[in-house]
Amino acid sequence: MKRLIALALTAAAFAALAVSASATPKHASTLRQLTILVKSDDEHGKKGPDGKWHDAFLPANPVLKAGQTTRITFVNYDGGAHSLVAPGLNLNVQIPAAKGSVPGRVSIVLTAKKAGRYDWWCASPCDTWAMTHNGYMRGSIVVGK
Amino acid sequence: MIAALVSAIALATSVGPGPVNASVPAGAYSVAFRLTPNLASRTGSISVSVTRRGRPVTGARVRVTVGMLDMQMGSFTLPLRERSAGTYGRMFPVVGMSGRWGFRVEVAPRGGRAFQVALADRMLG
Repeated sequence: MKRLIALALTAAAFAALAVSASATPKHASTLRQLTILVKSDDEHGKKGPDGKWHDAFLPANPVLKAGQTTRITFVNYDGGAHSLVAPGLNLNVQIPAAKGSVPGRVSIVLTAKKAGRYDWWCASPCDTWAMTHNGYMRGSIVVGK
Repeated sequence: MIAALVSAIALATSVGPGPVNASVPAGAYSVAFRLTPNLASRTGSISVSVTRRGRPVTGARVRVTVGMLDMQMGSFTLPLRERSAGTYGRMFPVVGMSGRWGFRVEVAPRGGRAFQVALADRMLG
């Protein structure tokens, strides 16, 4: 039974996605702006079903439109660095830590060509619970048609 | 789909750490899987060569789904393009986290029955 559960968890780690996207478009005709806040449990990032506050990207499941160029700015209020890795979109964004009261900031410009759900995760060691729960330190970038 | 994945991972071939060059049999087919440099923090190259009774299988549809085995995280699927007769590949993106990663290679030969093989890779940072 334990083996079955382990296998089921493994299988759940594989959500099939068909992807094709570009992270650095040469031409942006209409530039949309999106800000994603990164907050730690101390900054009351997001309350989990366990009743505790956890690290979180806000929003963790942003919605984009296929073919539309979006400038995404990450604003990190946490004293620790984070990252957003979305291999399906070829994204590897290193988000610097806040320094005192000054949040860390980084911006990217993204044009996802193909609609779909692209899983992302924070690959920087942080809140272990949040790293394994969708909507906190992992999620999906949803690209609609 | 989940049942197929469970079956695939249960029969996975273990590879890594370091550059991967592994051959996995699948009935009359053989799949040669290559991944370099097989480091979580670096982009690399992935390629799959498919042969049937020693002859390259051209015109197949090949894709690879990758997911973390150590933590409940996301996954991604990479469609591979045929680069030379029977060899399919593309750039492999940064996954960011070292540990055990599962690779499910799906091959749909032209006019043939689709099949898959699975590998469990130990990837260093």
